[in-house]
Formats: sequence, structure tokens, C-alpha cells
Amino acid sequence: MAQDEETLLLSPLTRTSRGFGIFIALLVAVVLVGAAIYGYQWANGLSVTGMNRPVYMGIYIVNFVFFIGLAHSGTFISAILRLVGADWRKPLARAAEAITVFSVPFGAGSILIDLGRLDRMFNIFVHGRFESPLLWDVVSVSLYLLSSIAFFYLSLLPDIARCRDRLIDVPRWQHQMYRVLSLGWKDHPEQYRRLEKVLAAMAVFMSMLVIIVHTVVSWVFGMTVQPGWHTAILGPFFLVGAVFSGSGAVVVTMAVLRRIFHLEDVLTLKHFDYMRKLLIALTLVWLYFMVAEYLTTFYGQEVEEMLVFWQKFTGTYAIPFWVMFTLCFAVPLAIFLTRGKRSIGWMVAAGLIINVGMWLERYIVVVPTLTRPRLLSELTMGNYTPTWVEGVITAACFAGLLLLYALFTRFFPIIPIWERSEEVEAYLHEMEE
Amino acid sequence: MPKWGMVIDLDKCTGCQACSMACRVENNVSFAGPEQAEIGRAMFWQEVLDTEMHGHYPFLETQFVPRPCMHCEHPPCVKVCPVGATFQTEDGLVAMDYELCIGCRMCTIACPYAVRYFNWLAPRFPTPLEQALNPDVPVRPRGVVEKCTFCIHRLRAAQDRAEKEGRTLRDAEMVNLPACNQVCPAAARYFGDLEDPESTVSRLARSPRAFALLEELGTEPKVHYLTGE
Amino acid sequence: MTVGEILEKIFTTPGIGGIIAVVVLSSAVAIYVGLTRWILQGGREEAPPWERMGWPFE
Repeated sequence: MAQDEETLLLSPLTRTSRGFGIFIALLVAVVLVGAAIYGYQWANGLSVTGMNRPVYMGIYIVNFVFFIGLAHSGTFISAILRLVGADWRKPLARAAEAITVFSVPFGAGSILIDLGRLDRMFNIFVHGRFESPLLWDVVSVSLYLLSSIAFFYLSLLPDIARCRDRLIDVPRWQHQMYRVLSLGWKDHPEQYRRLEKVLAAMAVFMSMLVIIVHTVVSWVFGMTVQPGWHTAILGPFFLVGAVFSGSGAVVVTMAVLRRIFHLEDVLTLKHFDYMRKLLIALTLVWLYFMVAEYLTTFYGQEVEEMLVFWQKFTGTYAIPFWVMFTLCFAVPLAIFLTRGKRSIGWMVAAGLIINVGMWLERYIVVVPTLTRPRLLSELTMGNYTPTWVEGVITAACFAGLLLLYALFTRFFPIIPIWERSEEVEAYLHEMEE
Repeated sequence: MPKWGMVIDLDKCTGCQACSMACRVENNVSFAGPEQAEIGRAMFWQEVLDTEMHGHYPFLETQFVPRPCMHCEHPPCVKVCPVGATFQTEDGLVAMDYELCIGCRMCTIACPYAVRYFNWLAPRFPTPLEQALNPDVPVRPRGVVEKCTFCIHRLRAAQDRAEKEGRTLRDAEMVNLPACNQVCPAAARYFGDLEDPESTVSRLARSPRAFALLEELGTEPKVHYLTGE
Repeated sequence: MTVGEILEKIFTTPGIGGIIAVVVLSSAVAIYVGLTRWILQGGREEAPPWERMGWPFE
């Protein structure tokens, strides 16, 4: 790769622009406010939320599902597309995987925020029962987090060494950081070969993990016998939704990085076109699952199922439901088939719209069923009005994700450099012979 | 091994809710207060549900259904607890260990009968009721789940008494053992050993008037209802 | 005991689930650390791993 291209990709790591500093300060402020509000919740208990009986789960659990879903896009781009040899994904892989690594902690964190007795969290390890879907969650999500961190770090390693060797004008502590984190990487051909082998194997493993993790997340609901939840399609439905929302997030990330780091030649319109086609497919698959689920429910006309059904279609949750449908299906598809072909701006809009819609979709899965529990009576029917506490903590989670992401791009190259180097390609080419 | 069960005769029940009140006093159930109750946080281990009114005036009918915990033979709540804070005893009760509970509330969403409650707040009792707490029943802290226990403390005390006196429990002393049964003015509730074919509850549970809630789910609740309808 | 009974005991006994979680997660950590070391040791030309007992990542 040309020397100026490498300089271009490394230059954001050498200085902080004023705009960036302000942005970081803002995010830190939101995160700190969120932490303070969590302290308020810790002191006063979950009564500060809008949850009640029978709506025992609300926004925190919605956030849990949403962040884990968002994380899956990263793995999809970096691992699954790697397996099918989609080389166009290479420049995006680290940016996408960073979404994963920084999202999963907030997904897991959302569950912890939701616990009535967080101080007893370790009971899960001392007294854990594997019959519970929550144990499956603990194991699979933790394993996913560990694996994503390992995969991310290993993919980053040669570039940390590059920073150590090429960036000499940075502050001492920054250079020290590169030295320590590069683990003595020597740029030796045999190291590259071994790295490639491990990444290839991990790509297979991570692809399997994506399927397991989001299916297991859905089973927190699917394994109960509540109407609207106890359906076999729930696992695959969640999985598709996760890849869908995540891919939308990848598009947004791509565009933002492209603008901020002047990567117009690295991330081209072609890449956005690939994502556009992928997203069209995902939109249609998502629609297919929605039709399959709701048509089957409607045709069966089971009493308890229909109560939840009408809650969504015409009842208390009609507005969020139809807004969700518009934002997940109608609007994005329209954009992808028309303006999105030539405009990155419109693709970003579609990506954002999809994510708002998918957050609503998680809400629609969790809450309406809880408002109409199986044993129906005026006393057990419910309603849920989230409080400002839940809103602030949600905002802080998003701010935290953005903060970690922004800090990462400040100190590490977001576009992989080593994968683009011709020498490295040569080492790997030898390996194949 | 006994299997404790309950029978409630809906044709005798007047909907007076004395059972719900006796239960909350016996078991130190926290008071939510009017604002919290308004947003759905009231706790009623034993709750009287009412069905929709039907018929035309003056032949109107509504059914009152007192609903304790069903103590299912195949409890969906026990399956999903990650730490075993809720568990099934050998004599068929679905019991709680308040020390283990991490407040994840999976059991509350798994229960199809909505009999479980969560302590959103620290327990509170309007003055002077905090002086009348039952010492035989623990006061639960904030952040854990609780529900009807079939007055397990009274049950174990009765079992201990019988053992000390070197005899078995008599059906007559079991029928009104739980607080809800004891206080019912219509004598509509019965408690006892479903495994003993001669006990009151066994005979009533075999009656053609007997049914259980959500039978089709296969949870096999041990609370049976009687109705002539 | 039948297979069904054994499986039932594994899934429902409190504590076994915790052990499974700890075993799976610590194995993963061990494997990833091991793989990282293996990759980095590709930079070495000479002595095999068991002859070098120094700092893990050199």
C-alpha cells in the first residue's frame, strides 16, 4: 500500500481536533449523569422505573436484546462474510467488529442494571442451575464477549506494532501504550501465517456463536408459556433482526468514519452498494418472518394469543407497532430501491431509521405480552409507562458505546492497515501454496 | 409423602376478601400504598379475581375466584430460576429462599397465573401495623420475589407438633390450617393432603364439580376449584 | 441411573450450572491466551517453547 495511504490512516492517531474533544466531553458528561442516576436507582430500588406487575420487564431488557443484536452485525461482517470470501468487507471489518466489542458490555450491563439484587450476582456462579435460560445467557453472552475481544485484539495486533514503529511524535504514554499492547510483535512472516490461521478458525467459531447467542437471548422469552412469546420462530426471528439492525449500524459507522477520517478512496460507493444489496435482502427476510408469525397467530385465533395480537395491531401498542413496521420495512426499502443507490447520505438515514425501528421492535416483543398474561382478569392485565430514570440510563448506555468507539478511533487505526499491505499478502500467498 | 393441596368452593365464596387480608397480615406482606398501587405494584399473595359480569339485569352474575399460588406439580417458575431460589419441596410446595434470590424476575414472567410479586421497595407497613408483624414469617428485603407459601410455617409447626406427640396429622386440623382458610366466613376453603384418599381435599378434588385453572397447560396446579356452572 | 435421570440431575441441581459456566469461560480464556502466545512465538527462529521459560510474550 502507498506510504501516503498508511499516513492517512494513521494520522488521526497523532492529534486531537477541537471538535473531537468537545464531542468526547459531551459523551463523558452523559455517561457520568447516567452513572449518578444509576446510583439513585441503587439507593431506591427498581421502584424508580416504570415496571410493575404484570409488566416485570421493560426498557432495560429491551436494551439488553438491542445491544446484543447490534453487536452481531460486527461479527457478521468480520467473521461470516470472511468465511464466504467477501473481500470487499476487509476495510470495514475492524470498524464493524468494534461495534461488537463495545456493544456487548452494554448489553450485559443492561441485564445487571435490571437485577433486583445486583449484590448477589455471584450466586449465579455458586448456585447456578443450568435448566434456566438465564444461565444459557450468562455462558453464551460472556463467551461471545471474550471471543469478540480476542478476535478484535488479534486482528489489531499487527497494526498496534505499526503504530509503535511509525508513530514517533506522539506523547510518551501513548507510545508506551502501543509498546505494551503490541506484545512484542515482530512482523515476522511466520507470525502472520499463524495469525491468519487463528483468525480463520475463530471466524468459523464466532459465526456459530452469533447463531447461538441471539437464539439463546430470545429464549428468555421463548421458553415461557406466555402468549406471543412461546413460538418456535422466536429464535430465528431475533437472529434475523439482530443482523438486520447491525448491518444498518455498520452503514452509519462506515459513513461517519469516511467523513471524519477522509477515507473516500478506501471506503467507496461500491462498499455502500454491497451493503445496500445486503440490507434489501435482510429487509425482505425480516418481513417474511413477521408475516409468518402474525399470519399464523391470526389464523389460529387462540383467545390469549389474540389478546396480545390486538394489543399490537389496534390496541395500546398500535402506534409503536405501526411506526416500527414503517421504520423497519417501508421506509428503508423505499430508500434502498431509489435514492440509496447513489447517495451515501440516504443510506445513513436508512441505517439510522432501521435501528430506531428495531429498538421499537424489541419493545413490541417484550411489553405487550406482559400486559396480557395468560390468566386474564382485570387485576392481572397491565400497563407500562417507562420513567425518566430508564430513559437517562438508556441514553447513558448509548453515550458509553459512542464514547468507547470514539476513543478507540482516536488511538488506533479504524481501517486495517496490515491486511492491505502487499508484503503481508505475499506471506499469506506463500502459505496457500 | 403427603402432597399438600387446596380446594376452594366458588359457589360458597362471597368475594369478601377476608382471605386476602388474613394472608397479608399472617405473612407480613408489604403495603404498597395508594400511589404505588395505582401504578400496579400492590402485593397480594392471595388475591380475589373477578370474572366479567354477564347476563342481563336482574339476572347478573360474576364469579369471584380467590387465587393463591397454585403450587403446581410441574412449576414453570422453578424451571427458569437461575439460582434455585424457588424450588419444589418433597411434599409438593413451591417454596422460596429469599436469601438466594437475585431479583432477576424470570419466575414472575414465567408464571402463567401471575401469582408472583416483586419487592420494588423496601417493605413498609402503615403505623401501627409494623408492631403486629408475625415473628414466624421473615420480612422480605427490597429486590426479591415472593408469593404464597401455603403458610408453610404453620404447616411445619403442625408437623413438628404431631411428631412430638407421636402421631400423624389429622385431616381435621389441616382443613383450616392456612390463614386464608382459617378466616373464611363462608367456609369455602379446604386444605389437606391430596395423597390421602380419605382427606377432605382429596374427596372434593374428585368431585364432578372440580376444575383447575389453565388445566390445558399441564402445570397440574394443586389448587382445585368447585363450581356447579 | 438412566441417561435421562443423569441429564435431569445435571440441568436442575443448583451449583452444577455455575460450574459449567466457570469451566466454559475459563477454558475460553486459557485457549485465547494460549493461541495468542502461539501466534507471537512464530517470531522465534531458534529454540522450541519448552526451552524458553521466560516472560510469556518474548
